[in-house]
Amino acid sequence: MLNLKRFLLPGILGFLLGTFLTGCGKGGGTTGEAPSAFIFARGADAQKLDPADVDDGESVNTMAQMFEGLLGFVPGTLEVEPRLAESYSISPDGLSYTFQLREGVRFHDGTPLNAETARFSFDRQMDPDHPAHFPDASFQYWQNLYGDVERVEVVDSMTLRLHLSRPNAGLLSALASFPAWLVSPGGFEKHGAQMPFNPVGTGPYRFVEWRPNEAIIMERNPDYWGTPEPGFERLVIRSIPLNTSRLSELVAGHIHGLDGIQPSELADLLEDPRFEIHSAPGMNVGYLSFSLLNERMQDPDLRRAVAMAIDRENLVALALDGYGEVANYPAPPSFLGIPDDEGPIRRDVEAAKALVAAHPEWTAKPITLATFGQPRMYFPDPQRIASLIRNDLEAVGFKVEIINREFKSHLHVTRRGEFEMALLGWMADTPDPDNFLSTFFHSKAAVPGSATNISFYRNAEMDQYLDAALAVAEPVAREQIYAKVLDLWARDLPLVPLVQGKQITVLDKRVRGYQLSPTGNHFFGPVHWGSDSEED
Amino acid sequence: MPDLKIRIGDAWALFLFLLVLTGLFVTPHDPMSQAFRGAALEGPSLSHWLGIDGLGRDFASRLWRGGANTVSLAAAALGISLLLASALVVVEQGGPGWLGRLVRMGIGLWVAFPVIFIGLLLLVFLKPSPGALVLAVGLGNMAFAFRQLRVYWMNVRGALYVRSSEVLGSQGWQLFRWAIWPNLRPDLFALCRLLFAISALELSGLAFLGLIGDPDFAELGSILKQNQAFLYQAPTLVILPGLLLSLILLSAHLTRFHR
Amino acid sequence: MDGKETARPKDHRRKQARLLLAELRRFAVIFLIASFGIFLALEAMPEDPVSLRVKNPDPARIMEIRESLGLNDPWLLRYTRGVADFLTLDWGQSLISGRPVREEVARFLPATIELSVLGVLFGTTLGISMVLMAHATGWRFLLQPVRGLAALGLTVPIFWIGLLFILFFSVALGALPVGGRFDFAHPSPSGTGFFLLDAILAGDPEAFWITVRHLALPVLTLGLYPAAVVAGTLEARLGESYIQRLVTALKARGFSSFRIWGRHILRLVSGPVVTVIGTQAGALLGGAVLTETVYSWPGMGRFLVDGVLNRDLFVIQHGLLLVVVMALLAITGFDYLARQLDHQLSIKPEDSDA
Repeated sequence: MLNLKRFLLPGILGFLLGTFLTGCGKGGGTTGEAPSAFIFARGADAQKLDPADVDDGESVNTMAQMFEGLLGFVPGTLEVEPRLAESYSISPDGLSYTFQLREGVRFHDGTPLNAETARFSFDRQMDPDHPAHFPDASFQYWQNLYGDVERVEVVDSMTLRLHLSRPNAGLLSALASFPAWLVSPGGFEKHGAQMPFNPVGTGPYRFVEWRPNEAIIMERNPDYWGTPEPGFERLVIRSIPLNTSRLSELVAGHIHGLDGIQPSELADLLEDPRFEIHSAPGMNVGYLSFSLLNERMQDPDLRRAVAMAIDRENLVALALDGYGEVANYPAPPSFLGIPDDEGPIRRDVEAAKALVAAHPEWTAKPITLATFGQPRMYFPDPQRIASLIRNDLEAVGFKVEIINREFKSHLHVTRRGEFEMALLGWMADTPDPDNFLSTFFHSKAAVPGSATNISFYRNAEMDQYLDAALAVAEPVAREQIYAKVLDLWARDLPLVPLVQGKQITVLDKRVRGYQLSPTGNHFFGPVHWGSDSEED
Repeated sequence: MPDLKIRIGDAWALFLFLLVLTGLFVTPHDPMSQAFRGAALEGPSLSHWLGIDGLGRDFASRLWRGGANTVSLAAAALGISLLLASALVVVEQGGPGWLGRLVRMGIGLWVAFPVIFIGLLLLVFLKPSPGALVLAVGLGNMAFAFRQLRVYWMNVRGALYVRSSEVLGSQGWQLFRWAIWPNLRPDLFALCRLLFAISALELSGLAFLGLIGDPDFAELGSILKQNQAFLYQAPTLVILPGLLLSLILLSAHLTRFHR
Repeated sequence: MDGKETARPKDHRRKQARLLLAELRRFAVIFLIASFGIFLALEAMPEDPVSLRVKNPDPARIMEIRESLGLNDPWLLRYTRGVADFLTLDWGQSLISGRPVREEVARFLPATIELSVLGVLFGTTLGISMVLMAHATGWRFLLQPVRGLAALGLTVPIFWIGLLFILFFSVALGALPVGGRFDFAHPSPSGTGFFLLDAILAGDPEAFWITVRHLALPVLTLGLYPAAVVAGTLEARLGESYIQRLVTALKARGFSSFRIWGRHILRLVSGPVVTVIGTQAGALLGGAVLTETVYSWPGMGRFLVDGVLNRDLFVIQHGLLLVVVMALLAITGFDYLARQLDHQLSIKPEDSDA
């Protein structure tokens, strides 16, 4: 017994060391053969997996592997094509849309797709008394995108018809967007109010397990109707909050792809032959807003001085590391009516200095600048943006205090206009300029608590133009109206557009079939493992 | 010989602390000014000894000011801990019995609260700021300081010479100055050294978690957090703040004043 | 000593029971104070957690939700109901995620316990074995690393050394994972939530190795602090004169060096070591939060930090209280253990209640 004890300690130590070294010895890294699982990492976990009630990109990026809509976007574009509907037709008056559903499709739980089961996903959003219209869900998108849908009719077992109260040219792309993806009524029967955590769709991968803050695990849907067949046995989407850790996992070969990368880190990856960088301009604008609910910010000269002081080129260079553009207008130049020129804001440090010097009341106490921590496509590091802007403003004589919050708290504060200056951005859901301009400047978007017009800019003339632009279908006429909208914006400057971020996805080079979507979402359905000899 | 070694160690620690603390007043460049944006992430040069950070600031200046801030904030937290703890010891020893029991029970509870959660609870109603962190760390280590102070106090009071001094009639300040203080001093110094190290580590840990408010505030933990994005391009921006903190604490650890 | 106990077993048992009762009573009071403290902090919160979560700012709707959550009741009722809910494990739903708090805790707690227990075990073993080895062998050069180790825990920031470990072991060597608990290319072990245990129970060696590899760096990082504290305490204790006298005496009786240090002295100093681990439980939890952050470890630390930052009412109320209760239990447990150990070998009886 004595002898045993004598060796106990060294024994334990030896065991631990041995364990550790064996662990090292078994060192990972992906080998040449095709892995059975595709592992992708991003910075935050999904919130819910219910298409009708989410508004964060991480949730949508997860659901995109498990759900599909009647319509979908052709991969890599915003062109609408039939998906779960085999075909569709629109009545000449534009008031009814008829969908012929695809035969033989089943939800992951075995529920067959037919007009009744498809209808469920629309009814539960429209009808406040529907049992699956969860009381704590907001169904915000239904109002914004589908508000013109009046009634859903089951024509026959495989035909579904939507009746509209007025024509809406945007409805087709809205139906391809995530809030219209179809969920299984069987999933609701089985999981009830826990349905948002137990997604059941028709997509290429089906749900296995959600380990919050850790990973969402999916597996191949063996009965998938579409082509190509899903390329992996398992699909794992991990949440790794630290940008550096995420990148390290990729470099060490433990994951096959990631997003939300700090663009500065791309430089090394660009030279690394193991990785491929997918990048494209995103439909987004990162901006600085002034809350007009705040007396000091109501002075248009102050807003102008701030706009003139900010070096936006420098923001792109140092905060986006070159992966982005200066935003000259409140919407990207690819949008209808948005000129591709330098815009009305010019950097003029001397003029800004003179303005500040003439207004001692501006600097009586520091102006607060609200920012947040989590990376967004428009601001890969919002704190860095805040830091650079503060330096610009202090260079012309302002005093600035940065207030940093968690993203959700930041949204809460900005949606109530409870700030002086705040950084935020907008990612468009549809390729229509109204998606930016009404969002930013219409008084109906200035409701405390849910405002997207966080400047609380209220101007009857502006509202009138914005409404008029929507009523006109003809592009040239619309463009003319939007020119007036932009003039008003340039005159009043309730917000200063700063940058337009690029979407960046980094994948292992052997991963094939991935295409960036202009909506900024990931679709891993067509992704597969290519052998080294295969050429794309 | 060992005596000399100790003295060298003490002198070095004193020198380092003074040197670091001058960073509160003098740095080669303004640690907040992004005057060198064009040269972001450039390596060391004659005018920028440690190069430029990712936002165009002189890194040596930031590090220097950061070290000074960390040291002075940790010292402030240490002060809060000691002040509260000694007040509590006085109450516990001198007050009525029920109060003493209450204090001991409260301390028993307080020990179970990790400093990080005390910080978080404070941040439920305070604005994140260096001051809030100092308060959190100071409050958090109060229980530990109390326990140690109480043990020292008991030891000293129990020691024979105090009793004999009492018998001989010295009272109050005299008693403290001649009988208690000389015996308390080495223990107290050791406690300060330990508390300082713990406070500095916790403070920079909280700052690393992003709870210090202003992301540009020059504190070693928050500098490290801000520079993490440049880990691959300029690893020194991440390695040096941690190294400096370790160096400061190691130097403090090796001091042996009055021993 | 043994003789004394067997002579009056009844007395002893009664004394034990009385002590236990007193301990329980103390614990109950402390629990009430702790729960009230957290309740007060939540009361002092400037924002309304419900309106933070509801996207639709309709006051009537917010009132309705507050009513259904019982947030409009008088404070005494809310407090007592909170305590009752905590004790009956009825912890409500997270306002942010909508998931039951108990389910979330059941996921995150095993991850944190697995990490902390292994970290403490590893650190303690490392600290003790290094110190004893240095003394037992009599090789003075081994004392240098011991002092270095003792200094390490009190001088090196945990988040910094964690990053360096990642840079070295994961990125440079490519040998160990950067973060997370598991590599989900392999089906994860299920059952108790403790992956090592689950993997053993399931007889899945691959899952076991994957888990071990993910644990290696976090455990190493977290273990440094307890290793330092234990090494420091032990080294200080071993320097005390009665230990030195004992060693001399045992040597004189002809015991081997290993036997003296590995058996007699180890048992003698185990009490203080256990106490010091107990008092450091809070600091260890703090270290666990930082370690979890650096290694993307899905544990209670991140869960609670996010909960507080998001003002997630029930997560703060019950999650934080649970952590405090567990820290208290750990401290009490270690304290009890230390007293037992001291009692068993009360060589210095006058020191037993120090």
